[in-house]
Amino acid sequence: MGFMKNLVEQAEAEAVSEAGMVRIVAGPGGQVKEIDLRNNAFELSGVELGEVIVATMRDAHGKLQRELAETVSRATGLKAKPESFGGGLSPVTGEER
Amino acid sequence: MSDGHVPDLEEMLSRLDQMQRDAEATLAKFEELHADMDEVEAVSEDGYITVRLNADGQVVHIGIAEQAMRARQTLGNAILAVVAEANAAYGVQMAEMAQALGGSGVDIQAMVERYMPEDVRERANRTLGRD
Repeated sequence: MGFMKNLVEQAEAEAVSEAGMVRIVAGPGGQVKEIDLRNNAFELSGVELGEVIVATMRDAHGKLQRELAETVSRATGLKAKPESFGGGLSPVTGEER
Repeated sequence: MSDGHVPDLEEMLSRLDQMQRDAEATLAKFEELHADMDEVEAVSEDGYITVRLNADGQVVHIGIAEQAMRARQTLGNAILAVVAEANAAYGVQMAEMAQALGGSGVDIQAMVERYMPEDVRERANRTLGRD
């Protein structure tokens, strides 16, 4: 079980928005570890940038949940569902952009 | 069963039945408490950045005032700090829900007080409008 705990605690996934404006590194349980904003992000309004960040966060967390489910399934031979790794968050739907 | 008592089939079935009823009651209570959970909104000290989480703890809105856009180099980290604050407030709310579900068996509030740094807890309570 220690292996699993480490795996989940150290898991992270990255997502980048269209045109590379926003890069997000997500951690387990809804954590956000990094938000990088490229220069072209400041061409947007504050409202638009906020929306792009939220969408990119959703992508990063979705990716993290899918990757964790795959790794756990491979390691245990059991079918793990991505929503099991949301840390209480509701399931992420849709594909990563 | 360490006392040597071997339960008969009827007793075991009755226990299972009770366990199922307890689980269903807990689930119903969870649904009720979850429905009552509020969205959490955290705001940066200067008021320029707002982060809102829905009742599931997902970031659903980030508001960035135009003044904050001038910060450029530090904007990412400033947003990160407000997200962390919203997450902490959500965690406090979840702990309260878990406490209400768990009854008196485990003191979850005390665990939160022990493990969540005081300044984070204070900010979380402020975010939840409890100062």
